[in-house]
Amino acid sequence: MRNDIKLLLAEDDRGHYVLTKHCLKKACVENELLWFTDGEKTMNFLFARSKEPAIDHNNLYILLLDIRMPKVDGITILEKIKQDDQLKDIPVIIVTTSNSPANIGKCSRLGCIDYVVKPLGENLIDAIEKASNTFQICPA
Amino acid sequence: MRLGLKITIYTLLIALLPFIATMIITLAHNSEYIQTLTLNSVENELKTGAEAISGYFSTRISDIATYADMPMLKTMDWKRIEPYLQSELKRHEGIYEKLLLGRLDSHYYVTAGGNPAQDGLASFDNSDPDSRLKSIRQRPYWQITAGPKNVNRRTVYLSDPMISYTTGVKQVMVASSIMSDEGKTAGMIAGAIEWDQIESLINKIRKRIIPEDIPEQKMFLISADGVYIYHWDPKKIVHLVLDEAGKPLINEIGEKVVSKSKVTEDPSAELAKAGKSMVAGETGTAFYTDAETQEEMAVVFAPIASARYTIAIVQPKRVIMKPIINLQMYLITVMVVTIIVVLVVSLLMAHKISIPIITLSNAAKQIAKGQKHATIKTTSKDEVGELTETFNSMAVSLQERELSLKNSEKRYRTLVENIPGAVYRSEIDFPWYMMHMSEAVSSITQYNATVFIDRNIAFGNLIIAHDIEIVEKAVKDACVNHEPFTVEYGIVDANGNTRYVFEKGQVIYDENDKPLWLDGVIMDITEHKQAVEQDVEKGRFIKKALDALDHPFYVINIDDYSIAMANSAALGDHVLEEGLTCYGLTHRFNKPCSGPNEICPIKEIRKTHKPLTVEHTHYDSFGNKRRYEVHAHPILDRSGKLMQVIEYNIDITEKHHAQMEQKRLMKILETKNKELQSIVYVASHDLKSPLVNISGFGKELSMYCDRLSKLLTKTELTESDKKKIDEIIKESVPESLEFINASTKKINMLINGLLQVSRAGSTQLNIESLDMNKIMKDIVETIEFQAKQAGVSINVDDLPPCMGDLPKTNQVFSNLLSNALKYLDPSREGKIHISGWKENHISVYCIEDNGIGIAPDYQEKIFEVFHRLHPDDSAGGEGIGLTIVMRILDRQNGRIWVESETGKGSKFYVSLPAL
Repeated sequence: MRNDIKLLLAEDDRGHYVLTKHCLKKACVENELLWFTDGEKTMNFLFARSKEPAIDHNNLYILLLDIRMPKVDGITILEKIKQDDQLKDIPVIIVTTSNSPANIGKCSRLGCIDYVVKPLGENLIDAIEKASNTFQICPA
Repeated sequence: MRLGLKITIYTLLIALLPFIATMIITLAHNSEYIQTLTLNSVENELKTGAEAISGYFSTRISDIATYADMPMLKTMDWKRIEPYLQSELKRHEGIYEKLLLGRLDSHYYVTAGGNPAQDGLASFDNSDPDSRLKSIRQRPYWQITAGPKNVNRRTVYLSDPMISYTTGVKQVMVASSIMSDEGKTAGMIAGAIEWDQIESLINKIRKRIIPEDIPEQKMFLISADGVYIYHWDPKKIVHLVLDEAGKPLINEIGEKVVSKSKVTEDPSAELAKAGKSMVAGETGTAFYTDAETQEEMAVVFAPIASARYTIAIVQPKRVIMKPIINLQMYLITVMVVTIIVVLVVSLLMAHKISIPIITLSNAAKQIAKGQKHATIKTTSKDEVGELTETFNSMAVSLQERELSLKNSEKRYRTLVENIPGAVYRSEIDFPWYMMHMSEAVSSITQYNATVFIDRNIAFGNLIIAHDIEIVEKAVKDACVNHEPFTVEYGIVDANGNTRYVFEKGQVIYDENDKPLWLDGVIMDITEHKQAVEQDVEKGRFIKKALDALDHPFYVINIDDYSIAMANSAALGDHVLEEGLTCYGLTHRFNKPCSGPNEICPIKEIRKTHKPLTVEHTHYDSFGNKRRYEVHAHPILDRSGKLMQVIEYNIDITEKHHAQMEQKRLMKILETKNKELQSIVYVASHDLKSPLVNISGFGKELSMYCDRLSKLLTKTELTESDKKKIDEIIKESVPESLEFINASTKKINMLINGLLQVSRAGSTQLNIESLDMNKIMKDIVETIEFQAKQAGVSINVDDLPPCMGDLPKTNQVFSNLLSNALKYLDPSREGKIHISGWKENHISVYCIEDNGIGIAPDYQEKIFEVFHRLHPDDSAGGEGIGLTIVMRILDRQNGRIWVESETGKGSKFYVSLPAL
């Protein structure tokens, strides 16, 4: 995988963050990982709404998005990203504990590239590989 | 007057009146105009003539005046003057017959010669020297110019025509005074002009101004005295009077006698009067009647200024009026011709118009007499033609009508005879003897009609004694009020039975309003009366029955909501009286119910005419609310018109309360259910998060233990420590981790189960008809491998179709089949049999196995969530399969139940709605 791709993780549970990091490390994925602890912070970064460092459109990103988060839930964020002309091409992988068919159907319709049910392992690595392939088809 | 004559006269009048009026106006206007025009033209001609004559005389006057002014003449010396005058006489070429020089002593000199012996003066005999001198003393021209009365005044004078003393010739003298230089009269000079000369001048002028084609026009001249000096009648003109021998008469002074006529003395007074105007020198026109001929004449006159004469033209009036008379004649001719033409045309027209009308009139008379008539031929297409056609169709319809009148009279008779009642004509007063009676009376009274008509029985005598008064009053009132009467009373028939009759009649009056008789009809109402009595009895019964009824029951009049009838249950403490309305009775309102909560049944039924049930809140005597089911039924009359509405009420207060409570509970249940759904969803999802961590970090921990164990082999430790650490790392920690892992798995399973149950109750269903044979075939195929391995035989019968959601139904049967496989008895060969049938409106399916079976005590528990009968057995499972199956079937109006025997096997039954 290209190491210039930055991984964004929207995840409110610290344990899940640590486990995600270990999972990536185990698979030798050493790309930069930015962690957002709730939906609002994720939105602030994506839409450059605060004084915190914001998205640089010259970079490539893959977003790992949890559904149940404080303030703004993952499905809403996915919806906003796909409505925005600048952001809609960012690959979004839903990473959640929910295996509800309703959620899966909804996220698929909204245009996420993959839906990964926790616990994480090879399923996440496969999804990231699939997401990074979209950049190789159309080199930056 | 006949129509033809009228038309003729009217047409004549209409055609001729304007024509005659125009003619009269034209004539009246024109005659005056023509007359004025004619006279004006004559007057103009006359003036021209007068001027010509006047010019002639002016010249003469100026001649003489010129002589008078000559110095030579003032000498009065004849010898000197004579040669000059003689030459002048010649120069004027016979205008003057002679010139005269008069002396103041009235003797004179004359160019015709004088007495030489007497100084040349004129004498009676110039040859005689002693002859008496002639004198002009008597002559007006001398008197005026040189006479003593006019001495010392210069005068010029023109005389009237006169007869010369010397020559006896008629002449006119022009004279002028000769004045001396001292201004005194010295003498006079005069010129005699022969009348013939003047007359020829006048004749010339007359010819010029009088057209030859009007010989009736004549002209005359008069002198200043009014004496005729020119006239068509010679007798009127100045002339010498002759004696019998034809010689001139001589008067006493030796002068010839002269006859004169004056216009001012004319026998016609009108002419005499006009003569005065002429003498006065006026211009004018006058009319007069000629004294001799008695003819109407017109005279036009104008003065001749220099001579003081007047010239006049006379003509009969008829000559002036001649063009007018000609016009009149012409117009009269035209009128006569017009009258004749109009008369002929109007006669023709009258004939043309009146003939068809007379024909019509005759035909109408014929019809009036009742005779039949033949259709009149139409000759034209105008209004008369239309009239004829209308008459024809009218006549036909008249005849038809007459015929139908006859027929209807016939029918009427038949009708009267067939009327169920007896038609009668009776006397006004009791006992009402009959003048006419129809035969129907026999069926009422059992007497023949003739009995009444022949006055054998009076109808009044049949009437029951106490009813006679009622009948008498009815007839009396009808007489007074001039209105028909109706009355009901009893009679006793020939068999002695009482019968009740209804009578309707009216009084017939003569032209003086005197009642003549009664006409009417009598009908038998005995049976009707009995029926009414029965009805009354029935009514009483119904009232009693209704009063016994516990439900409010009442009848409402549709027009004003008033209560026509109500049972005791409806009335309560109300009294049935006028003004009691349905809304007052049931609601204690003062206006009809309205709005969606209290729909007024009356208003609805007015629209629909159909029965209706609504719910109302009514109030009882104590003001307590009661909920009623109001049943309303329309009562229509025979024509379908809505008359009344029946309402009966059923008290549903209790039922209503129960319904309300049920609704409330349902609502709570719904809310709770929703809450539960979301709790299950949220909880299970959020519970998973920590589990992920526990299991994740458990694995990490186990990994770290492995690493630690490897590291320990390299480390130098005492055997006893090594043994203790080894025990911790290789036994105690992995054992703890194993428990943690097992518990995590267990919780995860429970959560997934909860989620599945929750979803089974909430996902959308799509109910359709299902081919169960196909579904079952698919399911069996998926487990075929598993079944073969376990040595199980599966038998499927033909299955009926049903209604359900395809994936959910699939899930139900998959679950049941997999359960059957799971709980087989290992001690015998497994057998599974699937069958199905239709029962009424449901399809029932049965999955039968010969497995371990279920003990009767647990048969109900297997459907509870997370309940597992065999927690330890290898078949494993979440314990939610049957719970989900039951929920799915519940939602599809299906059912599941079980029949089982321990050690023998189980029969799981599933029912679903049939097609």
